[in-house]
Amino acid sequence: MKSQYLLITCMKVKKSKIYGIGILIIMLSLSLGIGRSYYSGKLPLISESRIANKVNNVNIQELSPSDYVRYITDDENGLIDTKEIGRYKFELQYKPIDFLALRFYNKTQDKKNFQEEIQNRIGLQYYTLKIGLTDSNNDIMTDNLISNDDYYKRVEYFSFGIQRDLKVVSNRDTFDCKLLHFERVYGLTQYITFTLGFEANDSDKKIYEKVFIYDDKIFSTGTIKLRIKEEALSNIPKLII
Amino acid sequence: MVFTIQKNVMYFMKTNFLIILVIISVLMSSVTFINVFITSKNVKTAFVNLNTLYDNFLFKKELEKKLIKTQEERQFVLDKIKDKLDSCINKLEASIKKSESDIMTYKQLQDEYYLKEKSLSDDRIAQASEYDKQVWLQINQFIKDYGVKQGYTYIYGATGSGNIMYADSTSNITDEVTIFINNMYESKEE
Repeated sequence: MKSQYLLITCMKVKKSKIYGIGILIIMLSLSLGIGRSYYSGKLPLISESRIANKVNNVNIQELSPSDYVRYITDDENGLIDTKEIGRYKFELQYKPIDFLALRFYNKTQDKKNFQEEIQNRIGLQYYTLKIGLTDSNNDIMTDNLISNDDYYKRVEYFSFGIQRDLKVVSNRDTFDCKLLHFERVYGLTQYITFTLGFEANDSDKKIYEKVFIYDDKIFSTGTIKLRIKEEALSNIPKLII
Repeated sequence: MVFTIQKNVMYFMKTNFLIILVIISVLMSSVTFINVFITSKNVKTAFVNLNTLYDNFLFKKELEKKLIKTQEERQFVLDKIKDKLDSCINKLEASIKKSESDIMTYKQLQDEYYLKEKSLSDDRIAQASEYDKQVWLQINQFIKDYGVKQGYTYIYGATGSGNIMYADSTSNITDEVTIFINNMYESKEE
């Protein structure tokens, strides 16, 4: 009986010791910053050594294609802006020309072809707009529809009419939407996607923030403004292939 | 053995019944007090003046301008029909013998004017109502975002119609919320 009691006490002491050591390790790692960066949801993506050259007092990183894609699509880097209004969620992704051309390079691995793809895209600024529902898995294309006719009107509007309601404002200039591609997914995703191209003022080399304006006519949310800040645009890394 | 313990417990309870009762009530009241204290500490409330928010919301101001512009365009269309109608009336008044066709034209223009006026008025009401809906949808969303961000349990909306009869002015966060909702609309807020 006594020995059993002693054994239980020893086990308790051991357990508490193990817990104590565990807590000590966690606290140490937190103080070292490892834990902190983990909990903030972002481990350093690019090592400091990759910061290569300084342009306009901004450190421009040089990245490999895979790191470059990861950087552009990481919402922590400011090239994605989102907004929720009522039951609807809007997400805008700014896509640099290198990012678009990279898709073709990944297929062919041809540098000359990659440069051609870049040249073909100069003159426009590119974005992807996603619109989805925040509160359900329903298809946004059929959400709040009264009749079948309304569905076709919605499809027609998203395929063509929406172009009139999209603008980008940059340095007091307003740019119209020149390229619109509505991706029909037939309910396979919870959001609808538009690939957009707006006029761009390439003569001015200075980078200005871009305010995307969508004057919604379908979901009664009103004007939606999304912003890609100057800082985020200035920090876009250089693609090394 | 078990019987002896039970007997002892019973004896203890009998002699110290009052003390046990006092201990239990003290414990219960402490638990209740702590609970109320913690809950009251966590509830963060404030109020906003909804009329001020609505009037100072940038989106509302933009839509107001849009509505005025559309109204002017509609009025222009209506004025053109009115001009035609006025000239037709003048022509009829000037002529001694009123022709059938002039009278018919007058009646047609009069009908057209009243129909157009009614249709434009209905459109204006529908548009204003749609704009109002959009403005309140965004205001509600942004107040919710503000509440979540600042850790509020409740944000009350004062409209002056008696839903809040009294609130300390220090709980009035209308100015802060106005700045926040305008920044949210312009997508300047993180």
